[in-house]
Amino acid sequence: MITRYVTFVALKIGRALLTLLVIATLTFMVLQMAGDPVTVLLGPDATDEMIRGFSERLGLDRSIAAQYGLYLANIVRGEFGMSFLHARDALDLVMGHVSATLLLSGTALLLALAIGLPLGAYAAIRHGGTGDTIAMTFAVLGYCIPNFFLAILLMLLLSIQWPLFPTAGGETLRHLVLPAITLGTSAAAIIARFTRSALLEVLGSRYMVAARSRRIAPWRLLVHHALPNAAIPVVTVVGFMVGGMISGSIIVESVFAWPGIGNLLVNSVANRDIPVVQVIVLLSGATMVVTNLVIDILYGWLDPRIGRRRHAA
Amino acid sequence: MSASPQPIIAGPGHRRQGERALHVMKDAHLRLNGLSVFLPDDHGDKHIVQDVSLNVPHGELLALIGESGSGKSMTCSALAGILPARMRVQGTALLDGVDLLAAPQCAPSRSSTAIIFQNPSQCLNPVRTIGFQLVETVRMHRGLAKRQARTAALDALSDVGLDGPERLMHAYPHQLSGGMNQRVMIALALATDPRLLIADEPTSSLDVTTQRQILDLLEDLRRQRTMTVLMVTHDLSVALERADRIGVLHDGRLVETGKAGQVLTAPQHPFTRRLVAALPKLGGAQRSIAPDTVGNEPANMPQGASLAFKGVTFRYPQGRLATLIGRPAPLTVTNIGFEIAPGKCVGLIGESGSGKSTLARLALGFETPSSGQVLVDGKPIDDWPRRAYRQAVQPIFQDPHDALNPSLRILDQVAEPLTVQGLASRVDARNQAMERLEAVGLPVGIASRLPHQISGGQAQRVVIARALMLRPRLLVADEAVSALDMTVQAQILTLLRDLIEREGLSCLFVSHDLRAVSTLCDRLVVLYRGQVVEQGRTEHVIARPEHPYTRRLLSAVPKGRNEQHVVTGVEELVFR
Amino acid sequence: MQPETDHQIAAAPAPDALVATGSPHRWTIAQIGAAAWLALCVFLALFADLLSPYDLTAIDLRARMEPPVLLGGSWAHPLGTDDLGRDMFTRLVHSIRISILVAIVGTLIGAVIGTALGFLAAQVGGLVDDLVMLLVDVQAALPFMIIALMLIALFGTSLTLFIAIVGIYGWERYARIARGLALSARERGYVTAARAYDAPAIHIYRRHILPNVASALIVNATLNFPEIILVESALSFLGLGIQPPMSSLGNMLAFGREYLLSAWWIAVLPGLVIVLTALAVSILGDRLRDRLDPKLK
Repeated sequence: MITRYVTFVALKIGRALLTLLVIATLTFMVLQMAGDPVTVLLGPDATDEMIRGFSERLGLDRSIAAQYGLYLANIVRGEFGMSFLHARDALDLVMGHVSATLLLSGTALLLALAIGLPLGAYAAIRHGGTGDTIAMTFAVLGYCIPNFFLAILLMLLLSIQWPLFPTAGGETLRHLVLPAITLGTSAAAIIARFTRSALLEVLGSRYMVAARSRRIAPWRLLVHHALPNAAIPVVTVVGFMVGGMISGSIIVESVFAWPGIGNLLVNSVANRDIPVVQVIVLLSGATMVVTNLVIDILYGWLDPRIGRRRHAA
Repeated sequence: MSASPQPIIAGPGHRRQGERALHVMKDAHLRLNGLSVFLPDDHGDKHIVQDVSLNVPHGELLALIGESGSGKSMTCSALAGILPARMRVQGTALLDGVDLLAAPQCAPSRSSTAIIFQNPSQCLNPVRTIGFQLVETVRMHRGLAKRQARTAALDALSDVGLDGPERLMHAYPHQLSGGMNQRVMIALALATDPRLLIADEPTSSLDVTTQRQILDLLEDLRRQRTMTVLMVTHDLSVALERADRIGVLHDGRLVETGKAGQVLTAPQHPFTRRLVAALPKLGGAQRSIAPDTVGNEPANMPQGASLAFKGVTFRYPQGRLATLIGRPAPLTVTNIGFEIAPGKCVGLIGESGSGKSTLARLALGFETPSSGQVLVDGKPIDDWPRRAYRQAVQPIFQDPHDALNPSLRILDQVAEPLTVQGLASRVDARNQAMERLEAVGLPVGIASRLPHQISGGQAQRVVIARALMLRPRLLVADEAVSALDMTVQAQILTLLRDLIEREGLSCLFVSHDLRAVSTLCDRLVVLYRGQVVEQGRTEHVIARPEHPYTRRLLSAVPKGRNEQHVVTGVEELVFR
Repeated sequence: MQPETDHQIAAAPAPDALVATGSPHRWTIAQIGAAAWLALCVFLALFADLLSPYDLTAIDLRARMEPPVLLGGSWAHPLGTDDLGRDMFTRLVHSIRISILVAIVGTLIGAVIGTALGFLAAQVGGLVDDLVMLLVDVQAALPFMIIALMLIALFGTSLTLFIAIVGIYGWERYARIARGLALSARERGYVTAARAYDAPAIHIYRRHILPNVASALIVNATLNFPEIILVESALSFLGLGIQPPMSSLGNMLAFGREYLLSAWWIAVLPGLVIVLTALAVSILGDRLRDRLDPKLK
């Protein structure tokens, strides 16, 4: 029945909106707790005139409930105030950094998929063999070597020892290489682990044994029976990476001075440029929520047991 | 998988090998010769199946009987070529003279066997349609073009008695019932044109009525196609009814084989004799004392409490969202009415989903009726003080290992009802628990063990002992024996009957198994789709079933070929 | 007494063999190495003050950026010195102490809060359940680094606040696990039996539910612990975690970044310590999981 699927999607959208509302509310509460909004949001150098306009815009002379309403309205209108570090509209400022983060995260993710998927699948098929051991050693190391240390090792080797790539900046595509490798390696390790365990679980399932007993050719078993089932958990983790790209790239952008949102966030936090921080927090929440929504809807297509059509019986 | 080409074990197999040449041409059949399955280990191999030799003539059905862990499923896996990677086989398994164990996975001889399994719904790929899986199998085995393969797949679905094959082709396994999925599994097996069909507990996860239909289907197909069938089951009565020959596996060894009737009338091995003795019979034939007529209670049985359901209707509370939309919850049970007199045992029977477990929960006071009343000793449950009610009514569960806390020692678990309610000091409670454990026939050594260290039958005895600690007056047993092996079932039923008689308890015995219920209960209540469709004295219901469902239920009980030995209840009563 | 002829009885291990059911759990070389490394770290953390040859902040400008012994340095500074001539070994020992302390306290806070909320949601149900699960969803939707950075931006960098923030890390996973397990445990026969003899809810959770779900929570903690070490050092690396004059592995690494060209060991040594520690906990965690995870039995 189509209605079942529509209900399913509608419920997911409702849940996503609710999550966004709660994120915004929590941000509002934390801002309230942080002290006088004038000093918090305007910075130390605000003029009297600025303070007056600001108080009016946020309704500071009114009740908490009214302030909350205004706060939500301002979010919907896209008014987040000025960055006092850069003296620009905070939203504009953040949006100016989006493309750099997208470029870096996208490259890293493609790299991670290209390495992680085949590696994990290979490890599962050769379960217990040498290939499995090597692949999993890579995966464990990728998980245990933090981004910032890997970044420094790469710099040490590929910029200082052999000066192939620049250490910092974001002007050319050559600047992209080291941050993308750093970010891609840890993601590849995670993807490889998930692919391996998902595929192992599927390969050990009863329907695979039953299909094997019908003597379906091995490649068909893998491509047509195992992989579609194993895809479901792998899509989850990849979706999580896409949704968390802002936070995932914070450290790498910061180390390599890549001009993306993560780098902007670290600088804003260090300088207490709260309006910018606030925009990035909400943007990152929204990214995650929207990605989750897309993944959930994708599930309906990947897994017939969720939502969608119902034919017989 | 490594299979030794030569039989390792000589002996009886040796002689048969000489015969082989004579039989190969005119008579195709399955011959196992010294088949062993084992797990190689540094400290000596661990044998799962040991030296099994048997013979299934062409077109016959051999039932392999055994309790859990007897190695029967491993035998199937070995023959179907799907053993877990670490397992090794020895011996030969000749089908028409070709060794199945020596043949590599894709050899032609391999495609002459097919296998179906216990849980059909788990054996079909959840993200592929039925049509995809069938067409694929047909194309693989018959080398047909896509369109022809589709036609063949549709035919296969019709062959196994499924309606609307066109529609089913687009369905996913989760949209079908267990019985339908088992039919699909059979269609998949037939699509490979097998000469040997291996059926590993093909009906154990299905309702009795569905079970019968599937067994009938298998029998029809076997005759039409003159297939040889090797069926594995834990249920001796199913085997007796359906099989030409029976092989009995015990601890991985074949302890007995023979014609079905022969095994039943003259069992040789002690284990087989126990199996035969444990065969449940319809109609209370095992009851030691004659059932007394209602209203004529002996004076020494006042202890049991009475239980009455009066017009009870129940629907599960609805999720908030559904309530918001205003959709009412489906009724689970409707207008239920029956009574249990003090000291009586009433059997509540119905298939899964009929609402019988809901009634058990209502009787235990875990759920409150949406309308109507559940009365114990004439008093509605709500009017009872909670603690007094909890002492008076105690549950016994289906899966005894699930009913025991895996991290607590047996003695502490049995003593806990007393300590929790402050009815006895810790020491005192332990002493009483010890006595109870002995009273239910458990050895002293059990007390200090953890649940996973005891068998299912022992665990169920522990559960019963714990339920008796508070000296209850009504037992509510929900499928109390269905998770146990056949011989253990009989022992537990005997124990329950003894306890109920000795202590004069009342008992609500919920089950899907008519045979178990009829050995224990004075009265039967038949539940069908949430409604009581029939009730009465056990013998009456069995002799003169009125509702069509009861009749179906009765006819679904496997009777065995050798009627006079198994079907005591029905036949005698019907023709008396 | 009736003779029960179940083969299971014969196969059942004696009570004292309980701990090691299944395949023999031999220690691999990697596991021994991991245990040894962790033992060393704990030892260093406990006796940091006795073991460090110099004062944490003792500056010796004559001995700046001396290499470790094996790279031509002297035994006066076995692991070399940093840009201000401070002894690397001393600083590393103190950093290990801080990192382990933060990780242990952080893990405990997350585990206690998460488990308590999970059990509460399962037991009370209804609105409380909805609320807890909504918070879990929100936490899962807002990456931890973002939350941590926002809180640091608003409230500054103090050690107490930092530990509290790290403690939040991963609470939602404990909550989700505890709630799920409690809900399924409530359906188990032994809990139903306990309810049927009227055991109080507290008793049921303490004696019947917690012992049987503890292994899953411990397994989660072993996953959580190395992640907290990484999160802590990442924040310190960004200069937003542990602040000088206190030294942590993360901020040592960050300062060392300036001298990659001339004295790379200042950055690489603390980095290696982080990797080895996270690796060791992971390896031992895997071992623990194999022994505890009921699914693998």
